[in-house]
Amino acid sequence: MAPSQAYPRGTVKRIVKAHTKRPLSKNADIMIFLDYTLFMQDLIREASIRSKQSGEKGISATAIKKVRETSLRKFKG
Amino acid sequence: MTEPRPKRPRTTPRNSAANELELEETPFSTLRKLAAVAPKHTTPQTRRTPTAGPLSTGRHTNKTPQIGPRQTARRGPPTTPHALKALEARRNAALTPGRDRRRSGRVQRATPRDVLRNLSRLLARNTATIEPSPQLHGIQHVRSGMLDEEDEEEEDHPPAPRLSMPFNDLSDDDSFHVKPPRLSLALNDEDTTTRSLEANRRATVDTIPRLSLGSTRLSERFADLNELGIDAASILDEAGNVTVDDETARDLLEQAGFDVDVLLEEDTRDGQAFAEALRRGGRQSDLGVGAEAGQEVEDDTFRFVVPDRARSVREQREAEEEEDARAEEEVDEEQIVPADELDDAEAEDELDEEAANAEDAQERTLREDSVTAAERPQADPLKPTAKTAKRKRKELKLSKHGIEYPSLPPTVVKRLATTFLRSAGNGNAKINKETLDAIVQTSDWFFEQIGEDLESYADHAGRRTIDEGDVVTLMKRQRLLNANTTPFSLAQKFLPRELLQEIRMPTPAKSKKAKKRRMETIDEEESVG
Repeated sequence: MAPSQAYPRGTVKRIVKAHTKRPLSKNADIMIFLDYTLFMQDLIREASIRSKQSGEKGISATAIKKVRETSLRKFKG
Repeated sequence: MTEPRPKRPRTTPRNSAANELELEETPFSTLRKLAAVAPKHTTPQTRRTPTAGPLSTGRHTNKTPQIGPRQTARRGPPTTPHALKALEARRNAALTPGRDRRRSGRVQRATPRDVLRNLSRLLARNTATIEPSPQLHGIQHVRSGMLDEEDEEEEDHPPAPRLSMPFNDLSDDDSFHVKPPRLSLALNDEDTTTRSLEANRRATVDTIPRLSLGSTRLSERFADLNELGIDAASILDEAGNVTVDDETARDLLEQAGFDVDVLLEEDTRDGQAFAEALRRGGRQSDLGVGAEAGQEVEDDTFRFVVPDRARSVREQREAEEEEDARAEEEVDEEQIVPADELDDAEAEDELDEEAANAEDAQERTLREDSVTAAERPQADPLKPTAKTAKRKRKELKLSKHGIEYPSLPPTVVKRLATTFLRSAGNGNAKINKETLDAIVQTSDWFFEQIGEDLESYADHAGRRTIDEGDVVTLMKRQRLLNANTTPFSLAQKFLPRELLQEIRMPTPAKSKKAKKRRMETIDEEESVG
């Protein structure tokens, strides 16, 4: 399950820094990426459930757009 | 019966004397014995009543006879709490002035009806008989002015039945605003009690020959007759033609003291003339030509104003409808255009797409604060521009702090999404561009959201730096972490191994180091600021 490839840590750090205007501690971005991973899992799962319900194959942008609001709300701290 | 005496330890002096005398067996003693025995049946009663007297007042015994015996049955002071309370209540009742009221009666008098009754009793002393209102005076004056003869008689009559009132009311110029709604009642006499006001009004309007003015409109503003200052009397006289024909109406009028024939003659003459005028005017000028007709005819009646208003209202409505139609057309165009484009891009439901676009728009408006106007067109639902922008990947967004930031590279997002899609059960599902764009946009929003959250957590902790603890707090709040799920187990599951090592390595030293660095950063910030 664990992906072998790393992710662009610099990008994540830049994104979070831009949004918070704060410095990040050394490994906080890893945890943030972990959170993001979990969010993606939730989003994709919900979207695939939605698209299965509507009889689509794979997931469509429509399914994502319908699902993302609830997923984002679920991940609101 | 003489024998039970020894059972009674409580003996009166007389009894004790009898007991003593009993031994001597003299006739006197026997007589005394008899006398002592004979009242013995009654003595308990006679003895009880005096004791019952002071304890339970006469009123109590009158109203509830049970109270007395119950009271006497008790020897000694009450011990049970209920009895104590009852005794207390009785004492209080004896002390309070309104004690003669029974409790049950008091409960009954507490009902709203009784409250009102008490109020009415209070008010009845002070209220005087109602003076006849100024309306009645005015009407009576009117009557006297209209019918020259029976002034004195009418004064004594009770207010006339409704039928007769409009006649008099209308000839009065000063008090034309007295009772507008009753005007309509005069026209239909039989049904005044059974029908509602509105029904009557409509019915009467239909009977009038002025139907050409547009019956419904007229009936709606029938009460405006007086406001406009028409010679409404003539109209109603004209209506009077209708009513006076009836036997009942005639009877009623006679009861009210009118000379019906005189009334009829005068009224019908005026009324017919005016009705003819009305008819002529009304037919010439239908709804449209109101203003002109109003200028022509000397007395400006309501019918010349009403069409004006109606027309203006209609114009307004038409204008509004036009606007609405235009707006709808615009909306349709807006909605149709992107749908067409999407059709080209992908074979999907138009409706779904439109709905999604609408949602998109909403969300975009919600997040406008963080997105500047310069880059908003790139976030537009028009897919081609967005695609090109994503292709370039040079596009930078501005956060709410005014800092540019890139979005997460689509390849990374796609890789993650594909992984999770596979684990969700869609074997070889592919993610097309549009879906990827949506996911990337969602990722941007996600980072913005958690950025705000992390910032507030760090603020709350009094830190400038965002460290792992904040993220852990965030994940707890997201209910991702619980007793069974630690951040490290999650990391083991979802993160590549090298990152996992990075996380795991500093854990023992994390607390110290983090504290140190925290202090340093705070110092720096403070020294800078």
